[in-house]
Order: sequence, then C-alpha cells, then structure tokens
Amino acid sequence: MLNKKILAITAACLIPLQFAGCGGTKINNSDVTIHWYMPKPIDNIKDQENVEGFANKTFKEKVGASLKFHFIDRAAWEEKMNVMVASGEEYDLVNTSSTTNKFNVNVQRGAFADIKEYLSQYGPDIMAKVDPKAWPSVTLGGQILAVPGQNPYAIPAVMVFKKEFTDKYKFDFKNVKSLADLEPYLETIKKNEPGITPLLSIATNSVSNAPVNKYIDITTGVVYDEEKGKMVFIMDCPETLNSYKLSAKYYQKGYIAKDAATKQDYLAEAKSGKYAVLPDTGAYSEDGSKSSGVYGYPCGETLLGYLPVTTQSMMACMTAVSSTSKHPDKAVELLNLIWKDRFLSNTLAYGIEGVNYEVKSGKGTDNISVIPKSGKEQTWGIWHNWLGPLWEQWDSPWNSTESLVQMQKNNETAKVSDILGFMLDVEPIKNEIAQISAVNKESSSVFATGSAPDVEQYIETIRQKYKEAGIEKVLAEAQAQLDNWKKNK
Amino acid sequence: MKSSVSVTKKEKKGIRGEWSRFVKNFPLTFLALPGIIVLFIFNYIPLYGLILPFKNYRFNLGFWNSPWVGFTNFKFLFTGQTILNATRNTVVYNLIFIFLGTALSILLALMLFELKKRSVKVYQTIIFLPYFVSWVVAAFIFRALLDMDYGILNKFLVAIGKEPVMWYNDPKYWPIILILANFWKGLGYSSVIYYASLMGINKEYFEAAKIDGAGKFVQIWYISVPLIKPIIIITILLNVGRIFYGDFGLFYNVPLNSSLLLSTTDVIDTFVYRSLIDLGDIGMASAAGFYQSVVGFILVILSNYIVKKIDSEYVLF
Repeated sequence: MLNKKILAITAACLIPLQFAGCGGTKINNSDVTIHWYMPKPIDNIKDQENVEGFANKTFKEKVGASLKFHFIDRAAWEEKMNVMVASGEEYDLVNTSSTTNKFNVNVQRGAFADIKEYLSQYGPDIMAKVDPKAWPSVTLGGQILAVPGQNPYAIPAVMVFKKEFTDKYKFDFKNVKSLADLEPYLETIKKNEPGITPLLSIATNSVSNAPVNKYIDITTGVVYDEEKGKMVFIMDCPETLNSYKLSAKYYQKGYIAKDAATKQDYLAEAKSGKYAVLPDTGAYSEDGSKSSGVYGYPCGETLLGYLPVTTQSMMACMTAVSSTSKHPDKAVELLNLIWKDRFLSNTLAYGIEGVNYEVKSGKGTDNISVIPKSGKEQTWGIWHNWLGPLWEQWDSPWNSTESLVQMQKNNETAKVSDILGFMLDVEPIKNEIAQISAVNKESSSVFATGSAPDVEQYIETIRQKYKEAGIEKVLAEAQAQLDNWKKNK
Repeated sequence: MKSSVSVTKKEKKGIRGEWSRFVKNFPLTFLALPGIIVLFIFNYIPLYGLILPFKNYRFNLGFWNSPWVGFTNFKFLFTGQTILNATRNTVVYNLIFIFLGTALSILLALMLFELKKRSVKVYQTIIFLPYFVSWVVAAFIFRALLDMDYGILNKFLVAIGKEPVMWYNDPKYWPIILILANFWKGLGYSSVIYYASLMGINKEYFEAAKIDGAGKFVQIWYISVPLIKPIIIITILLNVGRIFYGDFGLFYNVPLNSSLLLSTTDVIDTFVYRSLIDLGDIGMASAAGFYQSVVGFILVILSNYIVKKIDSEYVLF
C-alpha cells in the first residue's frame, strides 16, 4: 500500500516537472548540448555531474550551450567510435589522433566536418594558440578537419624499472641505453626472484628499444629512411631485425612470460607488480613519478632517446567535429572558450577546488599551483592536451611549469623529419593494406614477445607473407606519392 | 485437419482458388504472422544492403550517393596465401563439424534413447550445459587446462616427469583441441534434436521387432536410423549453407588470439577481422560477408539438388 502511495506521489511530482522542463527550454532556447566523446582518462571517474554542472554555468552564459562528456572505456574506444560513425549516430566533438580513432580513416570515410569557416568566425583563440606548424597535418584540400592540441612533439622512448629490484640488486638503470644493455640485470632477476618475470613484453605493448631516429613510420610495414631518402620495407631494416632477434633470445632464456603473446591487458599486468622492467607510460619524468603514479608502486625511469618529430607526432591529440553534429558552430565556439579561458580548461582538467584539487600557492591569481588528488582519492581528471590547450596548464605534479616550458622549447628545437606534413593516401592500395594489416597483426605480437620457436625462419616466413600481401606495390605507391609531394612542396 | 480440407477443394484454381485457400487457412496464417513479420523486417528489408560491397562507402555521401567501385572490394579475399589457408581451414573444420558432429550426436541420441526416463534427464542436463557457456568464458576454461605455466595439463605432465607442452605456441595440437571444444559445446544441443525425433517413433515398431527376435543393433539400424533420416538430411543441408562461416567465437577466443597458431586456427572470419579492424572499411567488410553467403547459397542449392537426384523425398525444397 505504502509503495503504491509513494509511486503515485512521485508520479504526480514528476509530471509538472516534465512540463516545466519543456516550457523552460522553449523560452530560453538553451537546450543545445554538445556531446564530447573521449577515451576514459582515468579509471575512477565519479564527479562528472559536479564538474560539468560547474563548467556549464560558464558555457551557458557565454556560449549558450552546455557540455556533456562521454567517457568510453579504453578497451572499447576504437570499436565504439567505429560503430557510432558507421551507424551515423549524432555527436559533436571527439578526440582523434594518428593512432586511436584514427584521423586519416575518419577523414577518408567522411566522418569529420570541415570547420574552417566556424574557426574563422568563432575560433579566434584556437587560431591564435595552436602551433602554426600543426595546421598542415589537419588541412586537406582546403578543408580544416580537426583542431590540433598542444603537445610535446618529440615523444620520449623510456624504460621503466621497478624500484624494489633496482635497489635490491644495486642496478644502475640510468645507464641503460638499449634493450641489449639489460641482459645481465634480467639474468640476475631470473635467477634470484622466482615468481617475477624480468621483462614485461606482451601482445599489446612491450619494452621499447632505443629509437632509431632515421626511420619514420609511414604505414603498416613501410618506413621512410631519412638517410637513404626513400621508402623501405621494415623487414629490410637491420635495426628492426636485430631487435626481433634479441627479443627471441630473451624469450628463450625465460626473461619474457611464456604466454606473453596471448596476454592483452598490459596495464593490468604492469599493475600486478610481477615484472622488473616495464614499458613506458608515454612520458618521461626524471624522478620516475609518472610511472610510479600509473603503475602504483615506486618506479625508476631511464630515457633512451626521443622519437623524431613526424606528421604523426603533431597529430597525437586532436579534437574533431563530427559530420553528424547538428551544431558545429556551437561546438567550435564552446571549444574556443576552453582554449580562451584558462580557469575553465583547468577546471575541466583538474576538477573542482577543494573536491578534486587543493591550491598550493598563488591563490587568487591566474597562475596558481595546485595539488590534485591522486590514487584512490582521484575521482576526476582529463589530461590537458586531450582538451587542447596544454600550455595553459596550472603548475602541478602532473606537469610542473618548468617542464611545460621545456616541452615548448623542445618543440621549437626538436629534430624534425624531412617529410613533415606528408600523409599517405591509402585509397589506391586499400586491398594491399588490408592484407598487410593481417600479416602485421599476425606477426607483431610474436616479434615483440620473441615467442617464435625459430626466429630466423619466422622472419623469412613473415617476409614472404608481406610479399604475397603486396608490400612491393605499397612501397612503390608510397614512394610515388612522396615524390609527388616533394615536387609540389 | 485444416490442410486436408484445402486439399479436397483443389479443383478451384487460379487466384480465386488461392484466395479461398488463404481464407480457409487464415487462422493458421495468422498464427505465423509474428514470425513472418520478424522475418520480413530482419531478413528481407536489409537486403538492399547487398549493394554495399560494390560501393566505396563514405559516411558524408551516404548510402545511395557513395561511388560505385565494381568488384574492387572483393580483391583482398582472393589474393595471398593467408586467405587461401583461412578458407581451407574454414571448410575443413566445418566439414568435420558437420559430418563427424552429426554422427556423434546421433550416436549420443541413440544412447540416450536406450536409457531410463530418470537418468536421461541427468545426462541430458550435463551434456547440454556447455551450450550455455559463451565462448569467451569457455576460452578461460580451456586456458585453465592448457596454460603453459599453471595449466592443469602441464602441471600433470611435469608431475609425471614429462616436458611441459607449449600449447599456445604450437599449431599442431589445435585441430584436435578446436574440434573437441566445438563438440564439447555443441553436441548436447544437436543430440537433443535427434533424441526428440527418436521419441516420435511409434513404439509398436520396436515391439514388433523384439517379438521377431531383432537385437538392439538391428533395431537401431533398421528402425531408428531410417526413421530419423529426414531430420538428419535437413540439418546437414542447413549446415552446409554455413560452411564458409567460421565460428568467430570459437576460432578467435579459444586459441586466445595467439598468432603463432594461425596456420591451423585462422578462418575467413578471423582473417577479415585482422585485415579490416584498422581500415574500418565497410565496403570491404560487407564484401566478405557477401562472398560467404553467396558460396553458402550455391552449396545449399547444389547439395539439395544432389539429394533430390538420389531420393526426392528428403529434399529441403
């Protein structure tokens, strides 16, 4: 009886509310909601309503629209966006890059809207703050198809060490410069630490070797050799083959897990703490704070070098407007406000003061220093470069002001690839690329984990498979496109 | 019965005859209506999608305005050794699943049929249970057996002083593992179909045979098997139509997507997945589906035709 009564009362309350809702929107005309899709930045997001509600006060007042984030689990991200695009679902903003929710693929299938006009009308701050070098990589045929976020272009190649073991065995990890340097350490761990796998290399991620700066990734199976000035097949690069052989040696010696090639979830493996040497977290910190934070135990890091700046590295974090968006103008205007208003972008990134972060110094000014909650207490967080304006970030353990300045300096001085701005059009070689992707998917996890029983023979098998898949045609096409590009440069 | 009524009025021909038959049988047709509607919505309306494999599908141009590209989307299905290998695997595995699987499930059904009512329930439940386990979960059950460090089988091998086997690195074991996995999961379900049709056989046949002194095997061979022959042929024909479809759940999950095993675990579906997951090209993906169903369609027509030649009583249509 009581339940029924409650139900009736609730229903009675809800009905007028609904009507009120309808009426209100009609008068204010502020029911535009910009839906922004991005991968989940941190696992434990709980304060979405609060942060959005807080930021939306500003958005509603200045843009007349509100913002709603849709965070997609990383594992489902790629597929979710594929399905959304394929089914023509309506959304407004989305994160894209050269590697996830791929910019090229989306552009080729017409998933992104041309925002050139909206930018000139509503995006003055975006135009002023985006690095002019980055625009060519998102401009195709006179159309601007994304907003490139501010980013460190030169991506570091880093090795991560679990502190517990480097301390215990007094291993000077800062002197490690390549995968080969690790051997004695791996041997020590294997001998003395039962239950610990020395090297974390699995199907989806592996400990990186020192970067070979002359090779620029073009597409699956093809790299550009800066010294020779032409496209080469990856299986013809001696450095790559040596790296494969070294991994195979480590696998045979038991430094890599036996079932490494069937393991998928690298972060779960890393967090388990059962490894001594781990892949990087995509960034470098001198004191190891980055990886310690991500993996959840004290780590040390060593810098192997920087990857060369390529078209792809300028496209590491971008925001695009969907071609299904009903309000591309509002979407750009809203994005512009994020680039313009430093308090707003930092609110979206760090959350709300007192709840998600504490102010350390500089309170009341525009340039404050904050301490965001970390570990289990962290219930909100979006990386600044995913939003766009990274250089506007408030000083915090995420990035100190000094390191931000350093990154900007690096961007100016970093070694830039000769073919910066070149992008391969895969349309004429789609059939070959499909075949080659299959070969790559088949072999990459085996090479990375070294789990082939006979690596020399396996290399030959895979080389043959690439040939059958049409690697030569792809090489020739890439070379032709590059020659053409150079001519018109 | 309604159908016999309509047969007696066969002299009325043409549209009027059809109409009066429709009116006569309306209640039956009406009962089938939900099914017909579902079939129409999900199987007939989407047929216009068959033009997708022949287009270079662009989302901004839409379905009708995307450019035609002829057969170029099909090319990747016919070049290279990898797809040949995958096609061979698909067909051979499916042939084994169809013929050996059918034989085993008939055997199982015949054995169930000989059991007492009570114990049948217990056995049926036990062999039916794996059917409800999804392949993703099943993959982990098999992993518990085959894990190279901690698996039950390898622990056992080590305990009796043998070398552990690198199950997930060595393709030569996988034909047997995959076939066993498929039978483990599917036999319970298919044997129930045969068991049900065995239940439908008139008991008098068996009693008469017993009086004439026929043993169990003679009864099975001359009564049970011939009487369920139609259902056997129909299930085989239906399965032949799907001979180009590899069960993605089985072939992708159970080997844990280990690429060292691809020579024996790769089927058309897993190959298409690997090829297109990066490109995300709708035209090429639908070309693969189109190819599979066309081959299946031809094979069904062909095998139906062969059955018709041998004995027209058992044909599907």
